[in-house]
This record gives sequence, C-alpha cells and structure tokens, in this order.
Amino acid sequence: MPTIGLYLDAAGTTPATLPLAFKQDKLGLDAPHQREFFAICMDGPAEFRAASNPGVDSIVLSITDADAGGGQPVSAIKLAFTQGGLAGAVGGDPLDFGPLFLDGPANAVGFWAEFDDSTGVLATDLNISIGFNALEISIP
Amino acid sequence: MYNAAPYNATPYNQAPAATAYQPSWQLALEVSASTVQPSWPLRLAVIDTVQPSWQLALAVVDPALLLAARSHAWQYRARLDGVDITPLLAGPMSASGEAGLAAVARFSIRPQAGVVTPAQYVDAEVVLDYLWRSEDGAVEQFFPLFVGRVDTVDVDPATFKLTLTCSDRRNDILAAGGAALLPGSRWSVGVFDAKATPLQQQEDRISTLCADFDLLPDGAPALTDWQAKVTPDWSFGAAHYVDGSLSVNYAASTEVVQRVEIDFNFRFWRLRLRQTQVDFVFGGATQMAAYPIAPPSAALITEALEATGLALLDEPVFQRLTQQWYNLAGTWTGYEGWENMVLSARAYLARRFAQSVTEACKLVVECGDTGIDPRRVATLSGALEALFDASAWERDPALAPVLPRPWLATESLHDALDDPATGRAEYVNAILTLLHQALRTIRASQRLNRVTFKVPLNPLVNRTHTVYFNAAGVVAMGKVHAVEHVLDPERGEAVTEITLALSVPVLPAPVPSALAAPTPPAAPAITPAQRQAHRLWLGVHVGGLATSAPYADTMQGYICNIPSEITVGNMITSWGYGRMLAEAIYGNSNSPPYAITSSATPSTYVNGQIDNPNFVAANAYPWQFRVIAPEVEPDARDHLTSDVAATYRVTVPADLFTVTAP
Repeated sequence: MPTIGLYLDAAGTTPATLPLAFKQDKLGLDAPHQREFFAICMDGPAEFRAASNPGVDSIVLSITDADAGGGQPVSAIKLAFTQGGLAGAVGGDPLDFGPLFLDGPANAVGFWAEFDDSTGVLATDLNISIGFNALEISIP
Repeated sequence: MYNAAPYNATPYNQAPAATAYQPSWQLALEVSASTVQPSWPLRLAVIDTVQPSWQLALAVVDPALLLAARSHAWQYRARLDGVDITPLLAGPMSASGEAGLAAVARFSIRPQAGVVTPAQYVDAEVVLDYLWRSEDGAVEQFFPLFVGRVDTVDVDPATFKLTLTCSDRRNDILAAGGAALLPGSRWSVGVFDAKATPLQQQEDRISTLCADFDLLPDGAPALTDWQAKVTPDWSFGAAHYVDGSLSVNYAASTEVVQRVEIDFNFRFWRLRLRQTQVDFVFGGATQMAAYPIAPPSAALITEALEATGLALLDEPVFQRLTQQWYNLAGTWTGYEGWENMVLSARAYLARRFAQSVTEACKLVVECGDTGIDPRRVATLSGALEALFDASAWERDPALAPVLPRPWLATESLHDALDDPATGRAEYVNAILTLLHQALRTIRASQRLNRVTFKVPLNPLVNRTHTVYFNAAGVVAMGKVHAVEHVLDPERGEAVTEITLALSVPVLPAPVPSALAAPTPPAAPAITPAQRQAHRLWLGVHVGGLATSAPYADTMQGYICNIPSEITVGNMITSWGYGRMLAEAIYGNSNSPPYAITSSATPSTYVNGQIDNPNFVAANAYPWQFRVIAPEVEPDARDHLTSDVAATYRVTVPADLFTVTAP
C-alpha cells in the first residue's frame, strides 16, 4: 500500500529513524534543535488528496499531543518549509502541503522541524507526533 | 464459354437483351451540423486512505550531568529493521566515526536456538541507542549512537555468535545529494573526471573545501568546517577524562605540504579577421597619351581581387574614365570600351583565419613568504579545451561569430571562449577549483596533529563539535576528528574516545592572497610593419619598352605593354627618315621609316595600323592585373603558447595546542 514516508535526504535513500529524536539542553544554552526531513512516497505510483474533500482541501502536517497538559506542549515544535522560515513560524501551527501530493523523489517535499524547550525539565517526551490528515490514495 | 450442353444452347449462349433488369437503389445523403460534445468522465481508482504520522522523542538533557557522572546505570539498545534485539546482544558494542568518512558500528548477537540465516541480517536497518539513567533513577533517556545498515555478518562457529559490522548511509546521501549538499564547493571538467561515479564527483567537490561531510548520530547530514569554533561545544579537564587514556601525536614532517604547484593548460582558438587595403592609381593622361596604353577595366581589377582567394568586404570603389579624359588622350587612341576603364580603385580584402592558443598556467600556492622547504611540495594539474569548430568557421564567412570590420586597426580579434561549458568562465572555475584544492591540501597536511582521550560515554558529542581539553599539561582546542563509543556490559565499561584534529602552521603566517584566477594575457598587438604590409599601393608596370625592367612574378598592379601597333592617319611615308624628322611627322625615334612605298613626292599617306617602332617584343609582359595578397606572419598563424604565472599565499589556522612538561 503506497504511503508517505519521512526521509533524511531528498533522494529518499535514508529513512528517518523513529522516533524522530530532538534534544535541547536543560538550561537552554544551545540553540533550538532544527532538523530537515523530506516527505516522499517511495512506493508509487500514487496520488494523495485530503480525504475530507479530495482535490480541494489541503494536505496538512499537524502536531499532536497524546498527553495534552503534560510534558512538552505542541507549541514547542515549529514547522516550516525552509530553515529560515522557522524564525517566523508559530509553535504548534500546521504546515500546508496543498491539495495534491505525488509519488517519487522528484516530488519530495522538504520541510524543517524545530524543538525549543521551555520547560527546563530533564526528561524525554514521547507523546508528541507530527502527521498528515486522512489522505485518499489514488492510482493514476 | 462452356461448349457442352446445356450451356452451348439457348438461352445460355445468348447475349443479354438491351432491356435486361438493372436493379438500383437511390441514396439520400444528408450532411448536418453536429452539436454533440463528446466527453468521457474519468474515474480514478481510490484504493485506500492513510494517515501517516511520526512520533517525536523530545529530550531535554543536562550535559553537565552526563559529564559529571563517573558511574551511573546505563544500557544499550539495538534495533534491527525496527525490531528490538537487545536481549540477543552479546559482548561489547562499538560505534565509531572519523571525520569525512562513514561511521562504523560493530556488535555481536547470539541468536535464538534454531536454524540461523546470517544473510537475512545483511542490509538490515540498524539503530543503536544509549540509555542513560540519572543517578536518582528518576530520568531515563535514550540517545542515538548510530543509525545505518548491516554490511557484513561474521559467524563464530565455536560460540554461534554473529558479529554484525555496520556502516551509516553517509555515502548514499552524499552521492544522491548533489552540489546543494556541499555549498561553496567547486567542480570543473578541466580538473575532474566527468565520467566518475556520483560519489566520486561529490568527493571531488569535498576536496575543494576545508571541511568534512559526515552524518550525525541520528543520520542527518552535516558539512563541518575545519576551523575550530570560538566557543567550544565541550570542555574536558582532569575531572573528566579516563586516566591513562591521553595520547598526543604530532604530524610527521614528511606529511606536511608547504607548497602546491599547479600546472593548467587552457587551449582555445583565436579568431582573426585580417584586412588588406588595396589602392590602385593608373597615372592619367601621361600613361594614356605618352605610350599610349589604355587603363584597365573595372572587371579586370575585380577579377584580380577575387583571384587572391580573399573575401571582398564590399564592392570596390572605382574612379572611371570620363569623356574628358578620353578626349584628352586624343581620338587616335580610340579605346574601345573606354566607359568601363578605371583611373583609380580602392578595395578591402579580408582573410578570416583561426590561430590555436594555449595559456600555460603555472601557479604556486604557498603557506609562507619565506622558508618553504622544497621537499614539502605537492602538485596538481588540469587541462581544458574550449570547444569550437575552427575549420568550419574559416571556410564559411557567414558562420558566427562574424567579426567586425577592423578599418584602421587592420585586424579584428575574437577569442572563441563563449561556450559556457568549456570557455573562459569554465577556465576561471577550473583555476579556482585547483586553488581551493591546493588550500585544502596545505591545511589538511598541517592539521594531522592529534590529541586523543577517553571520557565516560557521552552520546551527545559528535564530529561537528569543537572540544577544549586541558589536563596533564596538555591544552588543546580543536574540531573533533573522531568519536568512538564503546559499551561493554561484561566489563561494566561505557566510554567515549574523542580525537581532536589540531592545526599547527609550520611557517609564520604570510599576508594572504585573494584566490582569484590570474588575468589572461592579451593578444599580441599588430605591429606597424604588419599594418604596412597590409596596405597595397598598386601602379602600372609598362612592358615592351627598351627600358622596361625584366618581368617578375612579384610585380603587382596593372601589368601591360605599349601597343605593338599604332593607328595612324594621313601619315606620310615616302619621305626619308631625315625628312620625317624635320617635318616632325613621326616622333623622334631612330627606327627605320615605315612603309616607304615609293620615292615619289609628295608623300604617300598611310591610314591604319603600323608597327610601333618603340615596341620591343622581348621586353613585353603578360598583360594582366595582379594583386598579391600579403601572407599572414607565422606569429599570427602558428600555434601560440602564452605563459601565465602567479603565486598565492595562504594561511594555516593555529589551533590552541600546547604541551607543557611538569
């Protein structure tokens, strides 16, 4: 079944290891940890559209918290299509990928994620995820 | 026809009657406008829905605790294709990475009882984590040490342990990443092999950077400058490093490079348009009346110009014979076709040719103003040829580039360097590629100094970091060259060995030069002598006279003779020579009188052609108009080698590195 995966390079040679690891030092002396990922469907042919209204509604990458109120808030994560865009991004805001996503490395969409801790608490939070809305897969 | 019955009798053997039955049906063909708009709705097969998501691991770490704790509970974890195989681990696990290379990991597993297929492990995805637990046990955090895949599996038949050796995907990412992965790098077809593999081409690019490309422990690519940061990422002292683990090594003198000599040849075609100006003057009435000789025709001159093989830049300009001149010459000259005759002419001829040129560049890159050891020299080389079909260009005057008319300059020049892949722009790129390669070669050779020490396992330090070390009389701060994590549960040991690369210049720092391609040499200017040789002043060579110079093939201009016969009217021929002289009837020549027909007086008159007494047949020239185009001098035609030399001075950074004996 075709699906969209996350990779560390635009050619799709290296899948991102799960969970996607971010770290920052407790005192906030280090800069926020920024990582680049590439969303690619490597097992096409396939076209992806938002299941809510295919071809009209956007494919959206959102940040979700399985334990809202505990650990890290979703606002600790920023998403942007460029590294420079992280500075102006709002923590917790989703990323709009448009109404259509196509398969193959040629159609890879790169984006950046940033983790900036504000808790100052020594811990590892595994409750935050990033993910797409429900997508309809079509075979062209 | 059949001859047998019944076909040989009526009615079969009879021709059909004129009124035989001929059935036909009328057709009604109607053409009408169509309003149909065909369309076929598409239906894409929707096969399923998905909602991809990925878990994050957001770790807030306390590096001070990691450094301060000399002993604490720890574990390692190994996942193979996403499956946790930690319970199968047997023996130590190591994950090491050297700057600019793929990281390597090695660990052993003791598989469960049953048939073992070691080949199933090859190419499996491997993730090795280090689990750190705080001393109070309240916090447990996993840190990635290595992400990659299994390369080889070794089986120990005695213990049935499988040792898996793994490497990360540095080479895969590098090969697929292209130039965007290596900002600031250079690549030139004049230096590197265009047919090399993508990985080799990327390594070629890295050879122009003073930086390392490798992966972080989580697999993300990183390009790290060799220059140590102003503020270190980590500081280690006596309280941190493992006793007895410190080692200091200086670079061998034979490994140090102080100078790089670069040889680069750049070959291209220099296109030239050499102009010859031709001026002809007939001489006017003197020529016409005295000898007499007729001026040349415009057609004759044009034919001679074209016979040179050079191109006429435009139509020649002629001063034609007018009625006034014709009358001045006297009616007895009677030139037929005088309207096409020319008193003077100007024309411009052009020769289009190409000269091959090689700029032989000899560049030197040094790390000091003085004291360069001649034994510490490396060499680099390259070559580039600017593509251009010079033969086709010489043959076809309409082929681009069409050079402008040089006018007074005599020559127009254009170096065929416009091809973007092999022209001047690529030459500059190639030179800069070599200069940056030289810089890396010099700096790499002078950062082979190493300080190595071990600390309790620190999963956060990696090859992009700058580390400060101060213990046991050694003070050093430099970029991490290598990191090796070793976890051995049986010995209770979890350590990280850190190796620093320290840059120590061997010569006093010079004033650095800008790394720029040298200015190419200008084309040699055309000399006054060459310009003079391309101005032809043509006149008239008169043959058939007793005083005519011997004919030579080097004569050019209007080459003609006095007429061998002249037309006379009412010329008295019965007088003797002396009488003719006295009467001034016929010149003052000493030639014998002509056509004495009788001794009667009065004279006999002659009208018509008589032999010209001045004409000497032995001195006659072949009648023609000749233009001899000047040859192009060898310096402008033969292959030209221009030498280009330049010296560059580069600095070598000085990392903090001192060793003090107690």
